[in-house]
Amino acid sequence: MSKPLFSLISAVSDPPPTQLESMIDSVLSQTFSDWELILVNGNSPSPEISGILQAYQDVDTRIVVREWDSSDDIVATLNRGLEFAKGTFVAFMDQNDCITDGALQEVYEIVRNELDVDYIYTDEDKVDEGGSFYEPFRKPDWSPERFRGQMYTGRLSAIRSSLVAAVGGVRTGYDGAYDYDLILRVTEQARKIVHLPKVLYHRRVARGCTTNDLDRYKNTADSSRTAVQSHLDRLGIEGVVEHGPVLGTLRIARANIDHNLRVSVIIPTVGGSGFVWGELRVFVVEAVRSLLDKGGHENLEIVVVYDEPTPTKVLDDLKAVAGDKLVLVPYADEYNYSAKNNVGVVNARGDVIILLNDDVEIDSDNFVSKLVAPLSEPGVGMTGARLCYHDKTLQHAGVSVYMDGETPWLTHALQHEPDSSPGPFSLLAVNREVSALTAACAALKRSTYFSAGGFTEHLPINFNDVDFSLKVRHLGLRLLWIADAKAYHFESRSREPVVHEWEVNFLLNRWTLPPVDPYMMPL
Amino acid sequence: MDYTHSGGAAAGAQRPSDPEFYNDVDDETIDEALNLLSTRDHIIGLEATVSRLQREVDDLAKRHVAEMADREIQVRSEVSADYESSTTWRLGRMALLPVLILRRIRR
Repeated sequence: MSKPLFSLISAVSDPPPTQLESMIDSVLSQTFSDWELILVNGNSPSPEISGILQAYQDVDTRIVVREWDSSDDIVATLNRGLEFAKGTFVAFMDQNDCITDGALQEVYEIVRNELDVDYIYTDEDKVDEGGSFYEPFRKPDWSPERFRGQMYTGRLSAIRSSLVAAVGGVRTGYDGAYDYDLILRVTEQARKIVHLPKVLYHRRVARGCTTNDLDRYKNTADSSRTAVQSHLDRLGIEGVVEHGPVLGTLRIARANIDHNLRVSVIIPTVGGSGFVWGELRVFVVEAVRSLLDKGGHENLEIVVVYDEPTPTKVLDDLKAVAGDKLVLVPYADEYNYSAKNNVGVVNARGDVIILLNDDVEIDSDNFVSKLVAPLSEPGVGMTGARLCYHDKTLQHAGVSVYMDGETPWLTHALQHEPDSSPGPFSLLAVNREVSALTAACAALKRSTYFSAGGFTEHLPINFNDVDFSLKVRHLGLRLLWIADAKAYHFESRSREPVVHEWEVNFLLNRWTLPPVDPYMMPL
Repeated sequence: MDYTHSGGAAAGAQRPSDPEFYNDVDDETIDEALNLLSTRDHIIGLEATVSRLQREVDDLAKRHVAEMADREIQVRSEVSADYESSTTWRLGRMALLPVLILRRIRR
């Protein structure tokens, strides 16, 4: 038999016969024929199952049945399947699940066009006992930071066999999260990872399945934490993996940044004031006060770029609050948010820059370290904070950027969701890659700021942060939204920003916006 | 010696005590840094625009090739239809019909 392109491997362990048949039939229905299905029968005392397997094997030579007496050991069973796999790519299938008729053809098209692809994952949905499909999971394009927070790639996952072998196959010690551990090791070494944004896999949710079993879920969560911790250790990322606020999600408590690292915080202001939570406050003074209280980093330089109308008392109050950390930079030109930030950055001496609006109040402890620590990791260009309105609804969880037909969409993702909401598929509970970040609170290396050419002064008010984000990504760097770096942003909820056509045209002349946001697929 | 420009200090000239000198140096450095930012912004903007235009050209080229392929198929079928409906082709076919029938019988 010649070497097939795909080896589908399934561990068979006393499944409901009709579901097993349904799974095998879904493979037999493929429009693409270059595959083998390896069924490793590990724990099926029922002669009916053995009979079904034998019957299918007799019908189609691409179906290979192997007996394995390792009973409950799923890892050993799958490794046994890997031993027999001859395909260039391998994919695991649960014995109860199904793939769509064109699934392998679709994956093949990727393999044909992307010769160096090592890992392909597709969207998936669930199928209930009545056969109805529901809860389609439109996954983001490859997002390594989000993947550390949740095993989102799931199935269908096709991995280059040589890479699976190179990383040592499936490992014991990750009960319930063996695939998470495998994919972490695979993606550390993969040359190219491709997301195929189509639902090609139906995950069956039924009585007895792990998705409905809370105890197993907790066990899986513990194993997941161990897997991600090992991943961080392998990559040399200093941090401790903790359970996230939603069961099954994880958070990384990264090690504090070097206390010698000078961090410059750039705050443009005109010294405005307003009522927040029933009290009148001067925004910039309280922003600086909260930064010093909650920032958790001593070596701060606070560069306040103030317009001339800023009251002298405000500047005096700032001096009293920030002392020798304060650098006051006057700005006399016509209002231009971009120019003010650029002036602030060139006057700053820190190796790391935090851009901060004056109407922000830091809420999370150790805020500076949470925001800055990921910047030392390869490929990370800029980080942004979880920003909430005064009423504890979300103001910023990343910005989605895409074209809907001829209409550009530059929208804050899940704006006005309750802060406590985990969001769809827990995306608000985990750090994740985003298309753009608001400049109301963002951190990046000074060198990145300069490499990206700072903020374009052609956009004085709107979209300068979106343009800047796209420039950072143009450098090949990722933008991360940090779920537990929380601050309040007292921007008026009801404020309707006036957007001019020329501002939109400037962006559209510069950038090709994708038809869907790569990190925030339609829900 | 002219101390009003940073070039003098860079050349190792004796440093003046006039604080204005340092203000000038700082201003020049900041202006240069802002110019650098602006230049980088333009460069990246142009790179992005070129990428966008290249993509549009590629898309147009692909569409054009596809349209040409469709057109070719259409023209071929039209030519074939014209050919088969022509008197010459019909007469030729009638003339050769006995030969074709004989060949079929011999098979």
